[in-house]
Amino acid sequence: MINQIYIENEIKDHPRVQSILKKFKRKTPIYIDKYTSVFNKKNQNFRIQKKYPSLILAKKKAGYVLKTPSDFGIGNSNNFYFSHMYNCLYDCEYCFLQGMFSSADYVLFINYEDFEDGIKEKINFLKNEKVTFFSGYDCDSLAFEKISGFVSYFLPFFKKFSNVEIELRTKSTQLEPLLKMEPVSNCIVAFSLLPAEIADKTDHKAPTIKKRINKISELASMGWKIGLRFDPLIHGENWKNIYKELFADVFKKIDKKAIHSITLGPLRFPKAMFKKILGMNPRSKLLSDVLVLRGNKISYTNEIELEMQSFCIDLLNQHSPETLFFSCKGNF
Amino acid sequence: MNNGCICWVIALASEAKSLIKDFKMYLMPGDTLFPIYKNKNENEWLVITGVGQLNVASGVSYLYSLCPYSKTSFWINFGIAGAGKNVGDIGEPFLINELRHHDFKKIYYPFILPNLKLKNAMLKTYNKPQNNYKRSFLFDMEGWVFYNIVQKKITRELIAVVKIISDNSPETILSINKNFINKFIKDKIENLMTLRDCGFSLSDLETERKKEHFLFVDITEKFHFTFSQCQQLKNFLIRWDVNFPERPLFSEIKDLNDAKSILDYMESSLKNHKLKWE
Repeated sequence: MINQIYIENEIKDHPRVQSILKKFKRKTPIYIDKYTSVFNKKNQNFRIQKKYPSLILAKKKAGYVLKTPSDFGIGNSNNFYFSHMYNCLYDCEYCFLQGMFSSADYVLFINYEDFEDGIKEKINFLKNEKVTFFSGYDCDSLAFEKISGFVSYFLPFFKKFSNVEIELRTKSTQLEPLLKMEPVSNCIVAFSLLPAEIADKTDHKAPTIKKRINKISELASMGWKIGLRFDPLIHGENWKNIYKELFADVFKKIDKKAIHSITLGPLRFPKAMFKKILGMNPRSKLLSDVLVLRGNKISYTNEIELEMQSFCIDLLNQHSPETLFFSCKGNF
Repeated sequence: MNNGCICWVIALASEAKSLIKDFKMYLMPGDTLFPIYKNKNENEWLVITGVGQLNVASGVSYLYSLCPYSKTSFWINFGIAGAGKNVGDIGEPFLINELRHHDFKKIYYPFILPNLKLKNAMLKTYNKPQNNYKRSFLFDMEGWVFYNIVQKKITRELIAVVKIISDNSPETILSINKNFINKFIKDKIENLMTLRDCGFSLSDLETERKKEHFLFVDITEKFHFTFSQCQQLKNFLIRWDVNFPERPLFSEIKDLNDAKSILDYMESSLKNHKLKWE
């Protein structure tokens, strides 16, 4: 549900803006000079905005493609991410976006062509090298598809580059554009998963784990390459059993041959953002656990982190020994 | 129970009259800088600031210092405004979604409250009364300044500006007087009720988020806590509630004699606890 629509004056006549507006016929947009005059101002309340988010249509001016943190990748040495959108429809308690922005409004950058040029530039520069582009870093790649048309636009573009992989990171089960097209061999549809018992308490507004697994299974059977992202790994009483059940369920329902890669990542928050996140959600069960400062991040103790990582890798190896594993330590 | 609070900022007594009556507010006794009204429960406050930017700025600051819940209150600037002929009819209320000032470049876009049956419009604030009715917006002498001051003090989602068109032609401005203003505001109070409910509910959310734990004062009055120990205690008290909803803390720490023992006890209990997700 969109509360209000803001549009940057510069793009008010852009065909993509016009097409989005047709989907909100009852809304009267407000025209603004820059998206930053509404978004991420001092004294905004992320939690209240999350209840009533607005949509801001804007034009990104620079920084179309950025390098990922050093340990973020799925096999290739050249890793980049791009964000056509800030913020997400879902409301997950471990999400760093709530600490990064003071606004929960959705900013959709509609100049996809400029992102495309930025991506092409990187591809040309790294000719013959393997490159992975990640989308879904500052948003969910698919959750807003009905409005943004992002995947429908970008997949045909990426299809042309055989040395390039595109990862679409999502929790969405609205996969229409993917279900309607032939699988794209260099596209990895990566789903964030965690035990249902935990997701029920932390992944607000997101599809249940059962629904996510069913949709992954559907995509896998069509021939799409699947990424499984157990990130973050969340601790608690009985964590071994619930992760065991999750992995058993996943491998029972998803064709192993479709799994491109599996990533494990610890629960972590940038130190600078944690205080803000906790202040916004002081009664969060997840945030009330024992979390410690380690370097510039807040996380479980090293001992817990290592135990979870090694337990999960052992278990995943039993289920799918041939799959590629990657670990994301989450250095900020 | 709703713990929200509303602070009304209104320029003229005639604009406030119906609200004071309908919301059962009474004048605060004593020597106050501005007339301040509040209700019996002290969860609805109103200041009559007088017309113009200086008055509204001072009035806001005064009410902010007086109302004990000002930081988490929902603030509303309500009053009459002129408007271009095509903007709306006399007596029509608007929730302002864009605030401009004749002398300053800064534009504010107030948070749009959902599900209100109020039309939205832009408001421009001037230093002097205006009579150019060819404009496509509302105009007044307080709105922008009100927002500019309040947004520095509290979260922007708790601020609203609502204006009722009082004049939209040179002829209509002649009919504005106390009785006229009072009458048409009285007719529109119904339109403010949803805004008021929404304000109470958002203010309640913010109050809940910021509220101090009920044991904090009891514990810190009994034992001396340093500033950093106080911060630690606040954090532990919330975590205690989340992790041990059925373990009353007071009975467990009643025999402890100082801040350090209390904090050590709470820390060790929390450290040994494993979250239950099922």
